[in-house]
Amino acid sequence: MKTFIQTYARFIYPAVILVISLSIYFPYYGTPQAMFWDENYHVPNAQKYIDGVMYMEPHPPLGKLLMAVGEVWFGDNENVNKQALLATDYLTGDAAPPEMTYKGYRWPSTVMMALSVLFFYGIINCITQRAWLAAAFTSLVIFDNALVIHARAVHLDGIQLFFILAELYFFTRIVTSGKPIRLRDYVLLGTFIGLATSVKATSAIELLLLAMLFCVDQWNNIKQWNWQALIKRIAVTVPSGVLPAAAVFLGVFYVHIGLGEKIIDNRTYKASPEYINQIRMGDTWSLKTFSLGMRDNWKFMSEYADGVPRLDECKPDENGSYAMNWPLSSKTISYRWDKNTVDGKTVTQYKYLIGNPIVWFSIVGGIILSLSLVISRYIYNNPVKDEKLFYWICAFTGLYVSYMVAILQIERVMYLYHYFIPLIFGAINLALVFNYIYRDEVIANNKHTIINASLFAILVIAVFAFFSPFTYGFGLTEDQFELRNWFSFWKLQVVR
Amino acid sequence: MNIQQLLNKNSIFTALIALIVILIGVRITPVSVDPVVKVMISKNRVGITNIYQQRDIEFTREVWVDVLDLEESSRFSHPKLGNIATYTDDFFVDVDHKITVKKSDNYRFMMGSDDGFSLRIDGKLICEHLGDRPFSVQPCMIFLNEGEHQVHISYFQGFGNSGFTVEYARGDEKPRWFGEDSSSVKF
Repeated sequence: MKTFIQTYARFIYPAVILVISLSIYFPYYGTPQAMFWDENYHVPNAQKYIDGVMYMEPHPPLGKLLMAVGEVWFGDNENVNKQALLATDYLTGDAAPPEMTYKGYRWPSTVMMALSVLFFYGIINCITQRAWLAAAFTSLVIFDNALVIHARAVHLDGIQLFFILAELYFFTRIVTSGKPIRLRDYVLLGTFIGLATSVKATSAIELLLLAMLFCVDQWNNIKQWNWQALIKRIAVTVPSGVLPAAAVFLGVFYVHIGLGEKIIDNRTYKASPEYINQIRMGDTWSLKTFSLGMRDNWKFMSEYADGVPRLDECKPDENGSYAMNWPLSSKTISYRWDKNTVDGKTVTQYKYLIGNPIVWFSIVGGIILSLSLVISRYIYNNPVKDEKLFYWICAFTGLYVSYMVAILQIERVMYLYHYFIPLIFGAINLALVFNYIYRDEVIANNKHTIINASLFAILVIAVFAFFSPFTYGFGLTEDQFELRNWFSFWKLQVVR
Repeated sequence: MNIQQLLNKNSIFTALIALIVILIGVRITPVSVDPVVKVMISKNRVGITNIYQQRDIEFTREVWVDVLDLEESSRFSHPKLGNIATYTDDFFVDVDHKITVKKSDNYRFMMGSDDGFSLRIDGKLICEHLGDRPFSVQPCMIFLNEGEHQVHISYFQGFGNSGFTVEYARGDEKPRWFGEDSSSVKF
């Protein structure tokens, strides 16, 4: 048995992780049979692809295209009249066909987020070469209440995180392979960056990975400031990374524009007369239409972004929050609630966006520790005990800080789930900081260190379970709600 | 094993996890209080606007509390037990409790309610507020002889904010919560 486990350990860990992940993300993902949060936007827009209706919206189209695929494959809505979805960009609950299910639309985000934990495991395993460490810290992604509730819905973020984790995985694979970095590595990375950016524009932060890959590629030339060699290499690597990203991005828009073959109820989204004319001629797949449609879509996205309101903390029902509050899971968002009286008790089923406090607070702790490490190295000239690991920590801390700095420049209202990307960077960073602190013990597979990592994972799982009523919509009384209302800055609000 | 061996990085991590578990345990352990006063809470099927309104009870639950301090942040809530009614609107609360007066004297009952209440001692109506109101405390005076007395208090919550408190005091003494023993009254 021991020999079997040792022989197949590299498959057993991912297989077990995948089973656990699917068992957390999949159960009852079709409930509630009603929309919440941005589902009201994404469901009608995804349906427009199925029925060939032209539309425009602020996010790039890949996420909705995949939702449309999910609906076609798993929708179970064949006999539902979905005409109401085509005439609006925001489908209210009252306007939605009552018998319609949302399993198909939710499927891509749910399954891709569930699968993406394998990339997370792979990233940590690649860097640390310790499967038990990678498995323990993968609990951060599987058992985070915010990720689970948000990904089990018709939302873009589960799909986006899949591509981001794929990019990070291939990045770590390329860098840790020990082989010289080739142009096709830039192409691969650029392709995934293009896919992630085609889901949500915030993924553009991942372009930093191309710069990091270049630094690893040309480290010797950088150290020696061999600028001629650097420029020569830049001249080929930048196109190798950026062109595939741009090609994917434009390719996705080509499909988006091509599928928009009809205009319903004269809803033209301020499209130019030339573009409308092309659609009416049925010529949506031509390059001319693509050029016109791309220009009009881009203009629409810019104008929409300019029109989004700013954060207004004084507004009583403001769901947005300030980015600096996100690391502590503030402010939470009530997606939906249903109040019932059962056996004389008022029980409310909540769907609340709230992070697993152990996960989120540990990640903040990890960032503080890694920033301290970087400062101690570069300000106090303290030696580092593992140079490679130190640079990995620098990379993920740098990505975390860069994202937060970039997001702070955005003036429009932002929400807690915009923290998911740095949350992933921070989770990887936390595993690496743990590895750095316990480096000798990790290398020696010290039993106490393995037990500690396991205890941490168990704590993550236990706290996830405790907060799971907010994630899966299990009923809570007011007192049970208050037992989970740990901090006032979360701004949880009980339904009375 | 010396202290240096015990204080290694692994032990510190284990201790940290243990500390977090203890803190969480303390935070999520349901609290309990001394069972002194029995409170009967009855959910009415229809809206309540008067303390003497005909009752149409859907459910009744019995809760034991230490003191009748059931107002917190404009809500019917015990400081430790939280909302013992579990309902937020349209319920009655009845307290039927025998007290032992140790010293004959004038007693004040400070009745706080949002919305209405009535107070009877030995079957005699002492004071009442019939309908809705924001949380207010009103004093109710009575002379009590030494010995046992039956106290009956009714309260109702209609809609919106809520709260119910009862304090007592002998003469000019400092008020105490109903349920809290003193040199003058035993519960």
